Amino acid sequence: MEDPPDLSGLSVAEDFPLDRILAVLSDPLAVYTVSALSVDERVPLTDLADLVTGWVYADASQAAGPADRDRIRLLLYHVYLPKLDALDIVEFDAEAQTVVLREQSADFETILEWAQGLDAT
Amino acid sequence: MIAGLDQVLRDAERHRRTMEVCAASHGFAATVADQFETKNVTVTYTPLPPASDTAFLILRDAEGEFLGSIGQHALDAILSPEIHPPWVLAETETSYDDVFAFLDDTIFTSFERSQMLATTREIEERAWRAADGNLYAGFQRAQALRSQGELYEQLAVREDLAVHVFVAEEWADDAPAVPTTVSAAAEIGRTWFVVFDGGDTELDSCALVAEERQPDSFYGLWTYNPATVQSLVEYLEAVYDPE
Repeated sequence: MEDPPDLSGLSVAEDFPLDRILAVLSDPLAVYTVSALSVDERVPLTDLADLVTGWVYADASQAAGPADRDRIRLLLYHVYLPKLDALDIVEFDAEAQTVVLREQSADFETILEWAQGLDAT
Repeated sequence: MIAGLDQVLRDAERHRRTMEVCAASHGFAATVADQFETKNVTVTYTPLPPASDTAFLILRDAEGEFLGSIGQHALDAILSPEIHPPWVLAETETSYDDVFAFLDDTIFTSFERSQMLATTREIEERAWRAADGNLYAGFQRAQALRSQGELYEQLAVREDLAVHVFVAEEWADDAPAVPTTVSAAAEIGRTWFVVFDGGDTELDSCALVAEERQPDSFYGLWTYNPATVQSLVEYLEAVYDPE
């Protein structure tokens, strides 16, 4: 299992709540959500839900269907996107149901890469 | 009534679908494109972060609506199959029904013989489990008939299951000892088909229809759609009046 990233250089700052970011990225669904987004493109919630569903079920022995995707879309809308928006990781427009990734620091990228690798092990 | 076995292929060719392959590298997307890309099925590639080490496919219909998604390893059950007799499949816990249902009525463009056999086994396994109804099978040529003969003799004595094999005239000597219809019709020599009517349960019906377009490269589909399967059964019964 990969060692955790060297966090000694990072400090818990008001604009970078390290502990809360680590907590949210310990959840694979949050990692998939952030990984599926880019700063260049605002996407509809439905498109994001399609991709996150594929990712969540990628290691399953069975296929995922529209009901599985609908459940994940609800989770994104009610739980994950509001949480990621509150941490300034994404900008989520709940009314228009669109989302875009915010520019992130190198420190955040380090943590994200580590979290992506965790899921792969 | 349909005009020929290949009509189910012509009808399916009109379904517009997209397959969005999501992976860290191109390899899986290339395999999917190789097998499923036609003028009405578009395969696209969405790169995933290198650290993610995962691959999956999202299937959408003509309106872009999500139909389903499947991981690369599950899809390998079809793309890189292991072949077992239907009674072994019936005993195992792994069910590939879900995986086959995912690509129901989707044309495959270049299946190899091993993939054709794996799909054929899925249908034979359903017939074996049901132990009633009618199983129709045509294998085009001698090599396939010889290797399948013993299996079909077993299926023919499986409780209330009725087996009907179709063979072109030139391969008649290789036919197994089961009810066999010999025909000079071009489609019997050209088409690999396996059709199970589901017995008492229409929802158990399934079929595979394919043409060998290049040596050991098959173009066709499988279907779980009861209406499509019924149209094949009616056609075979009406045109060939099988044994």
